[in-house]
Amino acid sequence: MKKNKAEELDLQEAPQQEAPRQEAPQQEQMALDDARRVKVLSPGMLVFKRFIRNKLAVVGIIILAVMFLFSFLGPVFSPYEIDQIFTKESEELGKYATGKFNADPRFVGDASSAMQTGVMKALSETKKGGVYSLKTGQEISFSAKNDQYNMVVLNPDKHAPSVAIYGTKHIATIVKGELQFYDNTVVDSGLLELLREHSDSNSKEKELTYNGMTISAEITKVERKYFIPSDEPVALASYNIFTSVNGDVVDLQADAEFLQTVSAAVMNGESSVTYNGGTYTISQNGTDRVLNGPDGSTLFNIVRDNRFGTVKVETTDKDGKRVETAVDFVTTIDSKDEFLSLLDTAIQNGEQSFDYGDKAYSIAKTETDFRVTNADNELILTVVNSFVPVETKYDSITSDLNFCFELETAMAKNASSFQYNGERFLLVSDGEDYIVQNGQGKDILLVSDIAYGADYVGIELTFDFVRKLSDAIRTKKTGFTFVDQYGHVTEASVNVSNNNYYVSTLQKTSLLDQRSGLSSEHKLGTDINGMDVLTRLMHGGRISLIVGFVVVFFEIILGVIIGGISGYFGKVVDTILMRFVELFNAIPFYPMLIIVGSVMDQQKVDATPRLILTMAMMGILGWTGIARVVRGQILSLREQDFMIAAEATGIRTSRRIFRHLVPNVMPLLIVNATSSLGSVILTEATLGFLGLGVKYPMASWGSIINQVNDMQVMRTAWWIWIPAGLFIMITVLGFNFVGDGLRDAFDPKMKR
Amino acid sequence: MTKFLIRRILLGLLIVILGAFVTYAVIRCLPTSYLEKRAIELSQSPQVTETAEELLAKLKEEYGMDGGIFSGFVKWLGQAITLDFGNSWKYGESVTKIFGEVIWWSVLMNIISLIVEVFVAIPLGILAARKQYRATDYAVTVFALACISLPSFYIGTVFKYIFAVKLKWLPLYGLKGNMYESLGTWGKIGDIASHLVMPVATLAILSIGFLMRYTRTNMLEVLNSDYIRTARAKGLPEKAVINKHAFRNTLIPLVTAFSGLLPSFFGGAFITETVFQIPGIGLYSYNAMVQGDIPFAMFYTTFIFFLTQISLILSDIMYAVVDPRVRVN
Repeated sequence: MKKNKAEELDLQEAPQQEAPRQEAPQQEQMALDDARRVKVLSPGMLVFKRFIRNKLAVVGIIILAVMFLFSFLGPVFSPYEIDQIFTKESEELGKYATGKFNADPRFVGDASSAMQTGVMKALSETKKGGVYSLKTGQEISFSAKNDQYNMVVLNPDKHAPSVAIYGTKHIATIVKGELQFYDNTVVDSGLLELLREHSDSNSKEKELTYNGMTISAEITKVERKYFIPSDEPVALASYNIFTSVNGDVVDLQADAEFLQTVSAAVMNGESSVTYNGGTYTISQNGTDRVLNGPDGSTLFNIVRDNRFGTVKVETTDKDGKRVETAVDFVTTIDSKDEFLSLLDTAIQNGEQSFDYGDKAYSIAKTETDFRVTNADNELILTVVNSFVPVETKYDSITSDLNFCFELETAMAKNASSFQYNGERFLLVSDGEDYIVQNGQGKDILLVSDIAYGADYVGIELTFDFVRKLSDAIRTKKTGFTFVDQYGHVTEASVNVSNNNYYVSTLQKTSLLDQRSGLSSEHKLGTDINGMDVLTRLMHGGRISLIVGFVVVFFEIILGVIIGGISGYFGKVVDTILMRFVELFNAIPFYPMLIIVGSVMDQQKVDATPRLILTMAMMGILGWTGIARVVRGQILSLREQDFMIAAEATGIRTSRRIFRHLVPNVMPLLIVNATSSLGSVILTEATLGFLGLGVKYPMASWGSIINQVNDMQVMRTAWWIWIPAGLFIMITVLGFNFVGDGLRDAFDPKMKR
Repeated sequence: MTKFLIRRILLGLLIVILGAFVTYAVIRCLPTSYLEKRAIELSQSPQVTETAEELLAKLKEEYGMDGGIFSGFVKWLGQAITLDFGNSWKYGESVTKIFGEVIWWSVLMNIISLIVEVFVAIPLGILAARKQYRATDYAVTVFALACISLPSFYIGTVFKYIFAVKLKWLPLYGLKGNMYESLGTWGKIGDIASHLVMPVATLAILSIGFLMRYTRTNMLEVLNSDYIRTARAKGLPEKAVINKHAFRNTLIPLVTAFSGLLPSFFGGAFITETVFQIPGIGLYSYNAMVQGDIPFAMFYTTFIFFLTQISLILSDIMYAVVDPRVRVN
């Protein structure tokens, strides 16, 4: 067989021998056959030629070259960094607000909790088939905690009625026929007679009439109490919720800069102010000024606010001593009104001083106020502009019983206006809701039985939103547009679930660009951390290859030293060292690394020291194979003639080992190292996959595949894990091809 | 021979004990805060009245962690000899009991995959040897090298992706389906079998490469020997030459090689079992070790040491059985 192979090799080499001859024809004539033969058989060249002839080995070399270029040069050309995180703007439907039909009545006025319970109970007793059946003006009496109440239906809506609650006036109590209490403002002799008669006859009648007055009786075994209804409502129960239109006024009032700007404009007599791009107009209204917003709505009344200072007055104390005391200036003048009207005239005329009584006062104008000083240069008065929000005065109105009463009555009657406190309000229907306008026809309130709330702190629901929401809920729309708190026109969509109406809007958010597919920006997409996969593959390849080389280098050093010593010295040293090798060989590799890795996880070791430690562990657990090979080789080489010759020359032992033995072990070492490189890369990748190797933000091919443990990645994002695995496979394959090729080239006898 | 075997067994025992000691020392040296965590957890439970410190001392005493490494190891060894490996921290049960429950799945999986390997790798290896340097040979060689170069977790995941996620032919992971309990005997077997297809295929592919190359090398050696030439020279049909003369002689090194596979039979396949969530010894010990479960880790590593030594001794014996020359020395 050996002979056969040698022949075969010669035959195969024959054409190769021809080649140099043709290139150098001059040499051909001069060179001796022997010389040429020596040249051809130069061991390095021979190995190289045999290697080149192996197709698989060449493929392996090409694979490795490509991988090295990709990993070591790639990052230079990659536009991204290894830990660069990409984000994308996305518009997603986000929760905005929730609305629903108001389920609990709102009480206005003096409503005790007992009364509230009473009202709810009395109302629910009228329910038929799940809806209220009431009539306008219907009276229902109920008692709560010994108090008798009467309620009158204002609005008989099936779902959201409103009732006014009237208390009753206790006018008399009769205990066992004896009159114990009576209210003499109501009870006259005739009524008293009626009550006595009612009591004496032990009548069970609960209602009596006297002079058109309805008297109700509360009859117990012990006593009889008589009540007459009082004509003023004490409370109101309504399902309606008020939304007032004054959000912007409240905001502006809190804006000191705005107020100062307007103040200065008022002082300068200007009629308009520009603030934040909006033009506000100041108009005169009697002595007051009115500030109108950019949309013409009235925002503030600008009232001149007089803040009086103090003056020093000399008085005499009880010992007759003269003392200076500070007193309010107002107390020193006869007529405050006269003083102020003089001041007003002076200010309006732009005068700098005026006289009051026999004293002269001077007016100084500053940027935001007027300062009035007396002759002694004491500041007696500061005139500032006070901003009274026009609409906030309607804000408290919603909890005013009388207002609500008038409003509900007007709504029940479908009236277009109602009076309250001498002011006229207009009532405009808006779908099934109502909008209350003030006398000038400006919207001030929305009345609706839709309850609503913003889903997040920071969202302020505008009047417009509530109006549109109410409309959408009633007309069962799935979407609407509204103007939000920042003045943006926004689209909203409505989802119904369990009688709750969930409003969501498109909200812009900056998200990690996770698992996005292949694009021109990210040629291999992005991973779950929003990082560029291609870039990470390049850097990961670097780490995988470096880990391979470092670990194998470490293994070779340990293996050559221990294998060399063991093989060269033999006997006891060999036995001991080989037992040592056996022991290390038996240590289970993965369990060890898993334990150490999980402890490093617990201790939160940084990525770099962790990598170094992992490499060291891999080296320590992996050198035994090489040590065995080296030992075996040296054992056989030791007996050969050249070693006896070396020993005869008397050179040092270390020199004998490292100059004469080790170089002869080299071929086998190189073959072994090449194959080990592949397996170390595999091992490192496996550790990475288990999450025990290289840690984020560093990357290795294995740790990139680790993301496949997320089912989402496996199902939908093949670009994250498939290329990394292919790279590992191809690289290891390349190392194995080259290793095989090298083995064949170094020792054709061992070929396959 | 007997003397050699006795020496070998004694040496094996020594290595098992030394190895266990090394593992124990490594584990003890690591700053694992598992016990502290456990003590704190325990102290928060309402039934426990002791403080965390007291509990920690108790736990340390219980697990032999209070003394030095050497005395701790001696204590552990004393218990281990009686097969008492303590209770697993993670599973809360006796380590040996868990082992007995899960080991058979690993063994089953490995035996099936070994059968698959043998039936794929050996014919292919022989084929490659017969067609040396031809396209078939190259194809088989590249295939074998590709199998060796494949990361096990990757091939497992690719299988899952193709057959479970995309084609939906096979269950994604686990050993039993949701409907397992309601199935009949054959249905149960079928269910488990369908769950085992991908793990077995993964395991088989990983080892096929090695076995194929090994068969090929040995077959080549046999094919080039004199008695094959003789067989051919006397005009035997090629079929008979290969199947009767050559193949039988290739079996000798193969059988020896198989004895080296023993540890992987019982040691489980970490990666494959983890990827497919097969409740074998590999997955259980992986989960235990990741959590720093010292009793389980100690048991498992000792078990692996033991298996390695057994397999070495077995292959020595096998050598002696198949090669009479070894018996003499």
